[in-house]
Amino acid sequence: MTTTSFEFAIFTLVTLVLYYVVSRKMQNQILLIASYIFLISWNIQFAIVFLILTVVNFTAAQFIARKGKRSKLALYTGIAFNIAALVFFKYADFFVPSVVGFLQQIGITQVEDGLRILLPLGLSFFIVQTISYLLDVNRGITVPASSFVQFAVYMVYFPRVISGPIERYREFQPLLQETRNFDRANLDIAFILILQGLVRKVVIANLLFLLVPLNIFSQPGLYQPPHLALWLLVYTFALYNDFAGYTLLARGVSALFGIPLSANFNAPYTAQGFSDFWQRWHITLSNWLRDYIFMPVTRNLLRRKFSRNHAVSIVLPPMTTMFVSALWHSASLNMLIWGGMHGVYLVAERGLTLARPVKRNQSAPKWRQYASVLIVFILVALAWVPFRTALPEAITYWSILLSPASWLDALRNFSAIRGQVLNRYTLDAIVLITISILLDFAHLRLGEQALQRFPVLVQAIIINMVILALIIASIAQNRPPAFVYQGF
Amino acid sequence: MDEKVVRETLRNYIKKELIRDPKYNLGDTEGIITGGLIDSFSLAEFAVFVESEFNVYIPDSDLTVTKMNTLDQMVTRVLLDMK
Repeated sequence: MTTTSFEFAIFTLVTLVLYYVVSRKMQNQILLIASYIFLISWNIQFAIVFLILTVVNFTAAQFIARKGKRSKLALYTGIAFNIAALVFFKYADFFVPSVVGFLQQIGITQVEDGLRILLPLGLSFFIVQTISYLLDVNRGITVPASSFVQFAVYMVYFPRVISGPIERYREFQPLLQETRNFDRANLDIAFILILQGLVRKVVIANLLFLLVPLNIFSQPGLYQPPHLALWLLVYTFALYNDFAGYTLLARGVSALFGIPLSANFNAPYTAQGFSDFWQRWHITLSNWLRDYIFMPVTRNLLRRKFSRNHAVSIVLPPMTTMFVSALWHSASLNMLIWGGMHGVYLVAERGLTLARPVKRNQSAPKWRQYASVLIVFILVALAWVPFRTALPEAITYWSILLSPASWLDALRNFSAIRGQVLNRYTLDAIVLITISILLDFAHLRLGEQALQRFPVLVQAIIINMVILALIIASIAQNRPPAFVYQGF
Repeated sequence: MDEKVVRETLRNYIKKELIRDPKYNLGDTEGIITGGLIDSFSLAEFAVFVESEFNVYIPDSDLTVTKMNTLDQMVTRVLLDMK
């Protein structure tokens, strides 16, 4: 049951009614039952895996807290167990054929279906939460959960179990202890978040993904630079709106239950630098990487007297952080290249800032600010190529896209490809991208609840236009694309 | 240690070592992170400086824009952990 499906809407409505009918003490139980029903709707294996991991981590944290300073072994064992689970499920596809082959050789046949191991949806998100939980308990920042129900809700809370946002237990747990009553304020917040989420996901992202040629990333050699540039631009905005839309939906649904979730995006394509970009894109994962990878590595280097200007201090923290980020997404070579590119961007940016006094963001001339935004956008977009496709195809993509000779050729023969580049689909893409930019602009200027700032009549017109756009977009999609990030 | 001493020590450190402009007029309530004056690298340096200068450990998860964005917030946090 996907978050944009009719079934999910009914499921949420039923859960909501039960949630507000029962006593406060039972609300968390309702959320837990609903969350496992949601998991089972995908595959019962997911529910079993998450239940086992929840029990193990709940127990491990209590053991770590009891042992105090002697808990390092328990901590490392707990973290290793979680990582092993992630590795096992992410790479099960690799070794199942070998196991099947071996069993068939020794006469055990017809086992392949039984051995099929599915990667539980949202496992990567689940595991980073368990690791941060164990680390925080070990550091004494978080008191281990005394209520298994509360901890289990934290781990599998259905609005965000598939693709985040990633929450810290110490910030989420108090929300589960508060009394949550149905009120108009929550409803308003929820409505606006859900509306924005549906626009970004169903209208902008899904339609943009449908426009992108099916083989542009798998067979880039068939295309000319203008095609590759155009569809990379489209993909860049499609990916952003897909993920941002999902997060807004998750937050909106959660707001209906009186549980606010963290924002995950803040107009990332307006970033003027790469550090800035990572404070705007997938914010909860960026914060996790900063707190558990970047900061410890940096602080340890500084304590060991590697000065800020030392090459090791400049290179090691961002490269380590971005490689971990890449591995979190997938341990493929193309993903490591994606992470490596962003690591290099951060290293270069750090090197440049060390060479001169720091200036406030808004003190640079406007042209320089816009130029910074454009440069960051182009470099981020180029890095999306290996994020999206395997390395050989990514290299082909870049080699054509960045080849001056290929561009000259394409421009000389532009009349031959004009119809493929400048057509109705391009116009559709431009309109959708413009809507995305306008939404970001409104978000930056007016805040997340921008809609409420307009007069009621204007709000009504906007809402009706959105509903119309949703209907048109839904009709245009026979099979809507799945959330990209639910695959991680 | 006196609050004024802590404040001026931190202010001078931030201006000289992190912003690298000793003449910068750093306000007590000015957004240092939101203004782009310091980033995560600099926050780590700040944390290590506070450890060595004041013997105060600030956890990584507290080195955030919500908790460490202004000089006022930094001073309050250091004084709190010194007590």
